[in-house]
Amino acid sequence: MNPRPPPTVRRILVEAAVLVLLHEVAIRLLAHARLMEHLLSPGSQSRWAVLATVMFLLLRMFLLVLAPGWVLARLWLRATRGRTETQNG
Amino acid sequence: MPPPLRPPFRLPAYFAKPWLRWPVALALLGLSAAVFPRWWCGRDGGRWFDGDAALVRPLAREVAATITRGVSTADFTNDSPLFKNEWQFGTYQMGALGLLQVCREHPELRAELLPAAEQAIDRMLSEEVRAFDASEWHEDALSSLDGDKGHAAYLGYLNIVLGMHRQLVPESRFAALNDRISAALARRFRASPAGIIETYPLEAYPMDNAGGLASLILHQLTPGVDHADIIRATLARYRTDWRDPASGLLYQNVSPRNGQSSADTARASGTALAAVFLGCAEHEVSGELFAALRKNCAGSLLGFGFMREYPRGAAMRRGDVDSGPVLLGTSLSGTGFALASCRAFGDRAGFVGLYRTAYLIGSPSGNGDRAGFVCGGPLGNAIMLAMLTAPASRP
Repeated sequence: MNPRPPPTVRRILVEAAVLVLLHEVAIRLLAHARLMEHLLSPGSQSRWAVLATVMFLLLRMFLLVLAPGWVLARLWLRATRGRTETQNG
Repeated sequence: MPPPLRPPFRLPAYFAKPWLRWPVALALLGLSAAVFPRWWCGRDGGRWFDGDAALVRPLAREVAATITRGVSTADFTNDSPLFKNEWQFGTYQMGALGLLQVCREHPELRAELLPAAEQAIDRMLSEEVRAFDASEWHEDALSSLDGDKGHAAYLGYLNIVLGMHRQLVPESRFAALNDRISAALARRFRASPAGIIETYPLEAYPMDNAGGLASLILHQLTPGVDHADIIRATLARYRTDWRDPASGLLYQNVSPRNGQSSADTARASGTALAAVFLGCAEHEVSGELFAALRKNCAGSLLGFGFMREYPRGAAMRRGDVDSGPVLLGTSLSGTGFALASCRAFGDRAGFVGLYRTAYLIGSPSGNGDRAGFVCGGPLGNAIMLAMLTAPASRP
């Protein structure tokens, strides 16, 4: 079985751009959902809103806190691969 | 002949050594997490602290638009009709407070925003909005001002906004009502055996009484008015009787019969809200409450400030409608309310740290003309406007 090829620079950047895009779409979708009320004081109808809020906040925290370093680290690892690893990349 | 393929970018072989490659990758991850989010989420923190009109105006417009449109209990999600009605009232109260503060700090916005602030007060005075309090007391708060029942939350929160409106508009059309409510609150403070006014029958909360007390201090500025005795006595209770001696935090509730409370009810959310309201009118006790919050509840991670709901070392508990969700001990409400005290007492670093958290969790979004917090909604936006624009506390 062939090992999975290492990601190209383009793929690393495209994946980061998709995250940013997903976050922007989520902000626009959730802007009308009045999430704080669900978070502060959930009712019986709040299950999906709380779940959506948690998912959105996880995405946002990853994007703002970890993603920049994640992209930098991947680019560094890409640029420092050994010769054998680059055969398919 | 096709062009030769460009070889993939690669650093010299020296950097490919495993002992260098992976530690550097981890260092990049850690360094970036320590630097980037702190900078990105805090970019506007200093501008909010300085009262930059370019930031204030869009959020104020969003809150004004919400008030003009109106909010109903259908806008809120809790199953309890009481909480839904309280939040409807709270949206108008915080909206009015925030807009009045903006009008005071930015006179150029007054013509645009004052009508919305007055509309919010009119809505607070409507039978629809005050019905939640009437249903608990079986009497209407405004029709029974000569009576002796508490109504501490409704009257206190309303009266502080009336007092601030009167400061801004000396010929305020709410002046007569402000006089009547102030007289009623002063009389009820004096008559209470424990010095505290009930919010609902047999329920008394120092944070709710802070609104009433602050409104009396503002009303004291009116010529011919004298509430000095009860202001002095009640401020003394905030200094001693209603605070946990160990942490300095306010008890969340106090028995209206004997003034007793238990130490495990000393919490950040109530302390921070009381500091907000008292800070509108006085300097010393609100400053002491803020100092207790900073000493016992404030924390920071990667530059993101937060407030613990319970003082350091206390057992961790679940949140409630006052604190919001408590995650790893962090109070959503306490963190948001503390923004106001940071600004009031000139704690720029603390303000920016808390703002980073508000930015990360609240997710601001807007188009330059109007802006709000995605996770805010009507109540969240109104609260954030009031907290982010709190005026400097004056002696």
